[in-house]
Amino acid sequence: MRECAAGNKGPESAADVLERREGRCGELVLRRSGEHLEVIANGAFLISTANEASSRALMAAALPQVGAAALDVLIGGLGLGYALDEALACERVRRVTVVELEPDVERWYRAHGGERAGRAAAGERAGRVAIVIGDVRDALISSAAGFDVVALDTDNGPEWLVRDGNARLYSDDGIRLVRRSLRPGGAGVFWSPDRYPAFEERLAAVFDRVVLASARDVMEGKGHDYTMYVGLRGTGADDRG
Amino acid sequence: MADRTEFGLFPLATVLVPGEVLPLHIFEERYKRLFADLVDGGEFGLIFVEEEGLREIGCSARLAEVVEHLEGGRLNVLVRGVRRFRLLEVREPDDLEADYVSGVAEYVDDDEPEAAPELAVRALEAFRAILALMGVEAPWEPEGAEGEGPLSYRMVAAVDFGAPFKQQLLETLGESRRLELLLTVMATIMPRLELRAKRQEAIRGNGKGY
Repeated sequence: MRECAAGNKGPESAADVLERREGRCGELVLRRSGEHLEVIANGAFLISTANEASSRALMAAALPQVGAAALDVLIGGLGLGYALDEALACERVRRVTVVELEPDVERWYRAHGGERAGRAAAGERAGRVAIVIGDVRDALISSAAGFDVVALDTDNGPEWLVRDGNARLYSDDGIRLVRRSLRPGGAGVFWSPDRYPAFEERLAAVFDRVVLASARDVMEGKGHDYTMYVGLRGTGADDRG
Repeated sequence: MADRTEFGLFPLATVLVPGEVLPLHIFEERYKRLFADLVDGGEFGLIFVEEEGLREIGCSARLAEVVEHLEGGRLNVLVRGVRRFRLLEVREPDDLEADYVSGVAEYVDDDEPEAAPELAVRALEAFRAILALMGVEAPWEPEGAEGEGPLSYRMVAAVDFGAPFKQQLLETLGESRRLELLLTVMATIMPRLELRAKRQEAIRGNGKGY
């Protein structure tokens, strides 16, 4: 009974609303659309279980670029937990800190995340995972060169933002902050719904090297290609960030 | 081998932490002399003094700026906290009026300088909530003091949690432990600040509903 998303109705038109909450940044809706769970923020589509491939690709793109044997990972944006799950699947990952702005998103993830949420909970008990409510920027600010991988899976990427406050994460300052929070040889990875040449240039100006990876999610029978921007910090002790 | 030094001591009923900038008014002869000796960039030791006397742990400082030269050689200055030290020995001068007390000290660095990131995020969240309840409207951005010491010290430099607590933080050698102490203190004062904010709201609302 799903309606076609190509209609002129908003993103809420197609599915059963499971919960509607007033979040920190406006209205949050959890809904079920066929086999998929979706989170809508302020009427804009935020994340769906249909985005599993690209959320996992965020980690899959960054981890092989980092050579260290024991990795400390920071993920901005828990969403539905795929990037976290992908990080936990990597044996080299020592510890993952996930910062999520919306308490309801964390609650939904724990309630509906199934085996993923179970694996994360086991990681929490073992001290390998910490999920904290707050602004990922705070984790970046307070940790100079403390992470091997920083993954930003916040909002809808660099240029299509649901939350205004997220803009500065993708600003030149934000990019520098990500680089500064990396250990030598570390990687900062940014989920992006598209290729943005201007963003790419700004990354290249701050990082020593930028590598792109793509991932495809199939949503409502249609393939969407996303871009993972991986910014690499050189192994030298220099700091131009 | 401990990193030892000897410097002039400045006992004060205030606690300074590394990275913090503190204004001082200098009017006693012995401290005029101390600051004359500091113009070339040396350090002195600022140490918390209570009724029981000097504490063992203090913070070394440098003269950051002479803000004002006043008559009679008095000074208004800004000093900046540099590094934690443990006082090993106090050396009194012959003339206590004219000259300052020196101390032999060893520097004591953190055994755990980086905090668990989730603690930093939680502490910043709580700290901003406290600032909001205190009526501070400007957003607090710790990166203004980027690289100038741990987050916990930047917080206690920005908000007065009382000198004894600040001294406790100065004496705590790990950033995670300091943030945990701060989280505990903030959780304790939060309900009081919330109550106060509600009362003020009620007063503004002409007492209605309260």
